[in-house]
Amino acid sequence: MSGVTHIAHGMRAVVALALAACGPPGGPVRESDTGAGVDSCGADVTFATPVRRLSQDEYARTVTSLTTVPVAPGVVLDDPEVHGFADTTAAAVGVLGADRYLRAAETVTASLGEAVPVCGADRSCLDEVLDELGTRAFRRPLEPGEREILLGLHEEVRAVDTDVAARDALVQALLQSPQFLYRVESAGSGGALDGYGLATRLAFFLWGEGPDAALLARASSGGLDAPEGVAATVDDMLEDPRARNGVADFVEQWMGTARVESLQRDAQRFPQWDAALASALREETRAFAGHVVFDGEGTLSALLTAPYTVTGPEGARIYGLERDEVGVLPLDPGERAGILTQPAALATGAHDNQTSITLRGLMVRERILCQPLPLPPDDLDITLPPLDDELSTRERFARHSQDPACSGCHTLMDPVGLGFEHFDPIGAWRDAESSGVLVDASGHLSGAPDASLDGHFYGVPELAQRLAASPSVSECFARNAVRFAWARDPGLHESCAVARAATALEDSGGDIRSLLGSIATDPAFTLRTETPR
Amino acid sequence: MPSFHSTRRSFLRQLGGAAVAPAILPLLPTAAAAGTGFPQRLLVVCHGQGTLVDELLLSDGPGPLELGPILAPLERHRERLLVVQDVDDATNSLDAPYNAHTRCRLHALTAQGMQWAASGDGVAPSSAGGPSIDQYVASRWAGRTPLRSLELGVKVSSLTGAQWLWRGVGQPVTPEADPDVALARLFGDFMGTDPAEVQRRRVRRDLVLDAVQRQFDRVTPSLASEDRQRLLVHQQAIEEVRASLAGAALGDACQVPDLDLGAGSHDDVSAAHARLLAMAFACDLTRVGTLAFGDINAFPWLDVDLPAGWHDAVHAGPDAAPGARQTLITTFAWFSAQLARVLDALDAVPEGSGTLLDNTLVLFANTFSDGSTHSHEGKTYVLAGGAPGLRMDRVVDAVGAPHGELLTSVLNAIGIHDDAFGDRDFCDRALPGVWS
Repeated sequence: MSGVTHIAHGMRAVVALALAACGPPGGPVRESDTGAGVDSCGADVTFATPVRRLSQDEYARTVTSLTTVPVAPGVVLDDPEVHGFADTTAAAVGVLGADRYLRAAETVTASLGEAVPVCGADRSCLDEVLDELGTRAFRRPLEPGEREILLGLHEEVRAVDTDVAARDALVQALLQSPQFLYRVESAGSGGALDGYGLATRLAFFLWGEGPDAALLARASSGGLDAPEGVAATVDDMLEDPRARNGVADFVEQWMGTARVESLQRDAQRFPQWDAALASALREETRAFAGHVVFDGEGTLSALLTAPYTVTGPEGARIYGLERDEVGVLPLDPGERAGILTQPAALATGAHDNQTSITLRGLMVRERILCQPLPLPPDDLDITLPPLDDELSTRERFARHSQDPACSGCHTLMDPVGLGFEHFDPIGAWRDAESSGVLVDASGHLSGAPDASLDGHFYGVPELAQRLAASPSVSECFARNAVRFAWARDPGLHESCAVARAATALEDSGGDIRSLLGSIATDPAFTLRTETPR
Repeated sequence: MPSFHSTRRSFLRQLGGAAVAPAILPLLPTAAAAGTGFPQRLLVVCHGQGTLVDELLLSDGPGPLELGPILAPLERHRERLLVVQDVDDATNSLDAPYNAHTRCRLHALTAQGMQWAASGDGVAPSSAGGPSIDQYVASRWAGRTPLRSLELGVKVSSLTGAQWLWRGVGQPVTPEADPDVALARLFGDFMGTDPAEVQRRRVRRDLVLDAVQRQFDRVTPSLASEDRQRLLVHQQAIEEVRASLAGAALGDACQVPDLDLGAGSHDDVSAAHARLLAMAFACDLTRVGTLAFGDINAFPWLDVDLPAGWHDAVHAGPDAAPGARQTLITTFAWFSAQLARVLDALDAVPEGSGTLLDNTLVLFANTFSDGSTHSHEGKTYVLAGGAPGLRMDRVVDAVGAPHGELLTSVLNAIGIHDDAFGDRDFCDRALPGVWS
């Protein structure tokens, strides 16, 4: 939590910025335009990277990969979010968090079977466990002092309990040690990370889990010491099936679609909504992202416009279809286009019983265009108008464009969201609203970062085509990828790294793997700044 | 491990700050509630979305207590209620107009301005400005019981649930949402049939946590200061988990509670939590508890029609549609009924010539006054149960006093004689009028 300030001036700054973002005549401000000196991209100033704790998902995948025992992400606590991206540096682990780590480790060892040998008094067997499992858990070879602690524990437990209990205790200690739970980085020469540190960053960014033995071996043999080696490693890692997890994590954190699993829907209007459907929708978006990047065109343009999805028996219900298996499902290009018409994104932009033109417009504004808007002021009545048998959504929300207290911001959201009106609150296609009024999906975008985006459109496919051709959308996507890779917001001083990522995306014709590769090999990612103690 | 204890002390010193200092002081004599010989407890029950202020009481203004429809479920405990009207969670003015839900949760129990941190090109709230009252009391009473405090939640996530409770800046406290997990944490070591196995498990855990702490001791000292601070907090948490593993002595009033979770609705979970909290107090596992309600948006166990969800219905207010007022009364009254359940559970445990409820002060708090306004002004707090010197069964008008004053009175009532709580610019005294 660097730069903690107590309210007053910081607060005023952010409010002033946000209000300026809504008011005419300048239009909204891009995140990249909010500070001085942004355009003069000189030398890099990189903020020190705080010690990060593994996220819920990273913890679950890494423990499973170490022990072969299946672990559900929910066994450890949720992660706080910043701009939708998991932030594990924000809050310290409290009593409940520590208790969860203890119990999770005990649960894992209860199912360990023969995945980790029971060594008893066999010292060479123990050394092997520490060399293999220990190195993978700490993501580098153990220091002598660290080995001693674990060997001592094993001895002490054996003195009072069984050999299996001693083995279990050793694994439990590994899984609760800070070297496992936190990514503590040590510097190599010249400010670079050492090979193990870089292998760790790469693995969590590209795979969403810790490095495996082969990647650590590559680090150990100097394979990550030179830029060429790093580039070759990144290429190999993007070929690995685990890279689908990395891409899916990125896309769902960018679009906020994991939240679909916690949504409730009006049971009378949407009786088909249940937990199984919600988690199928989340999985659909993850699979769609993986397919576009690794099996399909691989481009941002395809991510935004592809007229297909990847779904199975459960999720196909949204499309009014019955299916037996999971796979690519072609969609009507006149109805659906890419990530914006994924049911998880559409449902996230809706209330229990009605669509939200505001949330859907905000999704485009903040996530696709990187134009953050402020929260409504405290004294504003933000009650939703009730559903009406005769009025359309457009008519019910007319006040947003007429009342000056609302229109400053809402003209930036609602007219965009109206273009999504063909999709109901669970993301299914509709020709008419619940009132029976036929849908009019005429939308309008104004105040966009580049003027080519502004203007009228009908329905999401037309909007998506326009967004896919926009350099600002490409730049915003690159910024979000950097956010994900670094697991924090790039600051003004780091605009050069964001610019390099944006250039890599543009130069490759919008190729997402090229973007990820560029971020992974960028000095801002491979170097480390010392922080004062 | 001869170095172990000195290491523990050294990291506690590094942690610094009043919130943890008592942990290294010699154990103080048990603070017994005056005259009873039993310890004083504090329980906080809090929920969001405000209420309908004009439906809380039948009579307006100070005087004898006549409960209105929202507080009606508490009628059987009326003689042990003190209703404090027109309190202002005044420190909110420091952070307005930031989102009222988040803001009011961060202010209600802390009475301090929020912390803000750099986030990309702007700033975002990073933390409450100080400890919430339950955690402050827990720090003052630390070391007296195996658990420093017990936080249970209904429909809480670590995002929303943790916003109520803070051990200090950057240290949100997440309530446990699963009664079975809480039960295992509180009584797990007593539920095995083989005492030898229970003992072995305890020894094993102790040795594992020793090893983990020694790994922390290798890593923590070389970190940058903010990182070090976070890991030291984690270490402290491990020590508290370890201390709680020792558990309580069963017998007399202290029994493993029988949790009937029914269908597992929020209503069922709330009932189980009430029993767990009462038993945690009865067994003297802790003397500070919290029951926090998170983002409940539907009440399928009540007879109410909420097509757009509860949150939207609260926003719309009591006059939005025919029947809206009754729907809101029914849902807000459900929270009063949860308080009544807690009071029932406490009252069912005999202590001396009275019950556990006589030795427990319960603070019933909310985010807002009227839900539809999202306002922090004109709030009503309810004190329940017992503490020496509090005169119950009546209404006190705080005339817009800052909530720090009420929280100071709570501290004073349970034997912590501070002269203020939270931001001193907003509070420099206890609230007059709550004493007999």
